[in-house]
Amino acid sequence: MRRALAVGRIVSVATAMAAAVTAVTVAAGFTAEAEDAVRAMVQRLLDAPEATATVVLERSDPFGGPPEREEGRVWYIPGRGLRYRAEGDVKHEMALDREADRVVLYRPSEPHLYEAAWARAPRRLRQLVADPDRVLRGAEGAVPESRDVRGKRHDGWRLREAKLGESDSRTSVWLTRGASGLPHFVSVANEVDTLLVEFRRWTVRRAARPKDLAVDVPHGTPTSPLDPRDLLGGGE
Amino acid sequence: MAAALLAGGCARIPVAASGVEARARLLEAHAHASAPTRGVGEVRGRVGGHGGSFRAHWGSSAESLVVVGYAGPVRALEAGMWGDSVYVAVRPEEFCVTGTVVEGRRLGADEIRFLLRPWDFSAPWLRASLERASIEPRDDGWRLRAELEREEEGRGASLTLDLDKRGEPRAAAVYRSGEPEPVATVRYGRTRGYAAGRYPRWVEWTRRNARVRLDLRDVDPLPEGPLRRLPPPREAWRVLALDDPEGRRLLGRLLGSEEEDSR
Repeated sequence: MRRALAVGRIVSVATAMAAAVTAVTVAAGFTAEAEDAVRAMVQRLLDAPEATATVVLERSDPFGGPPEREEGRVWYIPGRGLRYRAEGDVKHEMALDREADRVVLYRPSEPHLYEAAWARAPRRLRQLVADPDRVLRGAEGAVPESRDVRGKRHDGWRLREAKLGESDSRTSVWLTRGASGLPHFVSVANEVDTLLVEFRRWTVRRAARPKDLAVDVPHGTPTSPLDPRDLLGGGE
Repeated sequence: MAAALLAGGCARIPVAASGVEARARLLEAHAHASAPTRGVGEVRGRVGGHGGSFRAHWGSSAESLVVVGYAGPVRALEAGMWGDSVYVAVRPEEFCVTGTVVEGRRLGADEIRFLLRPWDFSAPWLRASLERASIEPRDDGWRLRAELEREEEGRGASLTLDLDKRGEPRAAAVYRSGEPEPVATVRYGRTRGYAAGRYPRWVEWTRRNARVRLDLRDVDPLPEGPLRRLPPPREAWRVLALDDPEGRRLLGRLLGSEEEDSR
C-alpha cells in the first residue's frame, strides 16, 4: 500500500506543469499574438537550465466539503529531472533523476526512502522531463477564459480537451500567466475533483544544479525498492 | 434522556445500569437510519512489512459507500461499494479491481459493508441481530454476541461487540461460522460529536497481518444530490475481475490475507 500510494504523490505537480506546457501551447494557436506570448512563456521554462518555484496546491473535496491546501516547492531541470517537496503540516518529497536512473520517495513521518529505476517513474513525469515536446504535440484547441481565483479575476486559457501526454479527454485545464511571464495558476479538473496549482516566485537558474534533485534524508534511513508491480505478485 | 445527551455531542453520558441498557443506548445512538454523510480522515496502514498513509474522503448513503484517497495532493485511490458491487482503483499504478461480492464461504456484502463502516449499526439485519444478542458483563462494560445468520441465505457469521459502561462501542470482531479466529477485528476510539452526529474519533481494523487506522476528522451531512460516481478506468489501465485469481490475490495483499484469498 505504501508503494502504491507513494508513487501518486509526485503526479499532481507534474500534471500541473505538463498542463501548463500543454495549455499555453494550445492557446498559442488561437491568435498569433497569443501564440507568441504563450510560446515565449513555455519556451522559457523548457529552455531553462533549471527552474524552481514555490507552489500552493488546492484540491476540492469530491463530496462537497471545503478544499484542502498544501504548500511546497518544485525544481525542474528539463531533460534531467524533477523534484517536489511538500512543506507545512504534511511533509513528503520525491525526486526523479534521469541521469542517475532513479526516482525516490520520502516522507519524514515514515522514515523510509523508496527508490526505483527511472523507467519505473510514472509516464507523465518521464515525458515531462525527457520529452516535453511530446506534451506540446498533444495539445488541442483552447479558448481564452477568465476566472475568479480567491476573489480576483484572472485572464487565462482553457483547454477544451487536455491530453497531457496521454489519452484523457475527461480532464479540463485552465491556466494563467504570471507577472514573471511563467505559468501562475494551473487548474486541472476532472469528474471527481479540481486541483488548482499556484506557482509562486519562479526562479530560472543560469545553470542546472543537479544536487537540487537530491532528497536529503537522515543518515541511516533505510532504503527499499519501489516497484509497484510487486503488488501484483510480480505480474506484468 | 439518553437520546438527548447523545444528541448533545459533548455531554457526558452516564454509566448504563445494565448490559441491556447499554445496548439500548448503542442502538439509539448508532443504529438509527441515518442521513447520507461525507467524511474526511487520515488512514494509516501497515500490511506485512510495508506501511503507508493517505487522506480519505468518503461519501456514504444507504448501501453505497464511495472513498477517494489522496496521497499528498494526488488522488491515488478510488473505491466504491454499491450493494454487492465493488470497485477499487489504484490510480498511480493504473489498475483496478471490479466485480460482485459472491455469497459463499466468505463474508457477504452486508458484512463487508459493516466492516467498512463499523460505526453504522443501522442496517435492519444488523440491528435485529444485536437486539437478539446475548450479553455478558466485562470488567469495563459488556460484550454482545450476535449471530449474523440469515435463514434465507443459509450462511452464517457472528459478531462480538464490546461496549463500554456508557454503551459506546469499543471493539468488534466478525467471525465466520465454525472458525475460531475472527475474519477481522475493529477497535473504536472514544466517540465525540461531529456535524453529522456521534462517531468514534478513530477506528482501527486488524485482519491477519494488516492493521489500518482511520482518524476521523470531519463527518458532515452529505450535500443534497446523488452520491458521487467514480470515473471508469482509463483505456490503458489493467482491469482485474474480483473473481479472477489475480484480482483476488491483489485485494488479498491489500487486505492482509493473501494466502487465504488467493485460493
